[in-house]
Amino acid sequence: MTEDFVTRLGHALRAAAEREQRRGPLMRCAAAARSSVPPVTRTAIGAVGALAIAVVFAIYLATALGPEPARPPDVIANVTLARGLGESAAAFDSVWMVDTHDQALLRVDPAMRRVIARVPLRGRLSIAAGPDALWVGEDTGRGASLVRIDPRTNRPAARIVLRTPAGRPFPAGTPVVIGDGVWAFSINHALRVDVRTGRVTRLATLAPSTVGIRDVTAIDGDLWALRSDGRLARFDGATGARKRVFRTSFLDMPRVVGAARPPLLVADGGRLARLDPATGRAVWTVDVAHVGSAAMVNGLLWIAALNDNGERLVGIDPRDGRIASSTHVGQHDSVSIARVGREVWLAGSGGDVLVLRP
Amino acid sequence: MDPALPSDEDLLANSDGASFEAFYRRHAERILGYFARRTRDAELAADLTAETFAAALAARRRYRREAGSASSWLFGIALKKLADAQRRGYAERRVQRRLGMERIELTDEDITRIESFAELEASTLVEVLVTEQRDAVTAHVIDGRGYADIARELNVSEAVVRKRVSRGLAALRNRIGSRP
Repeated sequence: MTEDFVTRLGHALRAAAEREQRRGPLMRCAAAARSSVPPVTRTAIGAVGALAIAVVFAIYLATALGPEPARPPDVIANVTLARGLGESAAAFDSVWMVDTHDQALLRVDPAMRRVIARVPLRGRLSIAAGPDALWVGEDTGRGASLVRIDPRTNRPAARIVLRTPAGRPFPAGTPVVIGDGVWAFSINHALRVDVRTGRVTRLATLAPSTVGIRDVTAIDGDLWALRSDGRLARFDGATGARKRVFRTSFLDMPRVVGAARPPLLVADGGRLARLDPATGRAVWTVDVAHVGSAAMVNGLLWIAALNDNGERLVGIDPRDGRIASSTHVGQHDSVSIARVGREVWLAGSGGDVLVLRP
Repeated sequence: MDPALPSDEDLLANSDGASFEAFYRRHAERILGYFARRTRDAELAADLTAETFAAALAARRRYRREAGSASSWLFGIALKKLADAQRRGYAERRVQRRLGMERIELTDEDITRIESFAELEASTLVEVLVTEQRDAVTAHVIDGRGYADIARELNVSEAVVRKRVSRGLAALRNRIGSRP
């Protein structure tokens, strides 16, 4: 019999605890060594160490940036728009942002950087821009809907309760707009809603019931789903019919990185890779930690990379993966990134928006 | 608790894997149930449970008995993880990554079981209460937390929490009694 989640998590925690225990003596030795050294000596060792690290880091940067490093982007604004922000998208001459604290959709004037409309909604919200409307996935935990926001009125023009053709509730996930359809996602299914009629037209199986879906994105009119077994599957964006399945075993627990007009990007906790959509193979891989979403501006792919020292806005050449620019942006805690004209907007979990111009 | 069994505090003080697993087993369903009721999302509840216990494992050397019970300490971590997830819109896996733990994928059976935590009649009944009473009754009666612990979270006195629980339960009794 298959073990349940609680049992499997117990095994994983025990294994982690045992790894920690094995690591323990070394860590304790290091701590003891540190405490036995006199403060003056420690300061001197620290200074030498810091100098060595600075030299190594400078050499690394010189190597990584290549012969013609791009000028670091200028931080041109830091504005507080809410007490918490989530997904964001640029569309209809505005920036649309999810207010996670007050459960609302915000419409922001990109020039004034001010909220010009607020649409109250409910539950967990996710957004996707379509050709003539903004679509919001609204999931209260007891049911989910796709809400069509009319950008002319800033009001919900339709609310489509998500149910399978058999009448069962269906979660919203992050919607994906392809042509005249909006797709919503559950753990292994996708539901297509016709944007003109508001009717469910298709229920597609993206993965077997024993395998979940981590992320979905749209590229060239097709759906790309990254499965929990590490495989990447391509589906017809109109019918949901499966076209091809690739292996992505070179990354540990990968996920798809969404971007406006993106190359196919996949990331795990420490690396980002560009994949060839024809073969599923990596064109390049670069070591960057905790990649969020991405945006293409001025020919570079911009990502917010996070590590223990804070966050960096990193510009990557999409052709070869070369890091062309890297700017420290502090402890901003970006949750989404949007291209707004020639600017990059980083929405922070605390409600701040950092605007940079590469 | 059986006096022959080690206390939660003893289990946290030991550095071996078996002790931490025993501590986890005592609290896993309570924490998972808490997240399931609060999020009504099985995947999110499972992710938050995993990250909460990973954080407890990573921080257990810093736990001090003088600061309160191990159970309250664990709930403090869970509350912070939930608040972070509500702020971000997703559950972090930072500590699990640091500990080299892979994400545990849920089966259909797991999801059904976790969802059942959120569908307990008790947790449905409390929805009829006003917010303050609902939070207090949920925390004390359903999640099994102490008054002092809840008072700290809600930033009110223990007496206020007791009053809210008492009034909330009275309101529920009236409601159940009025059912045809």
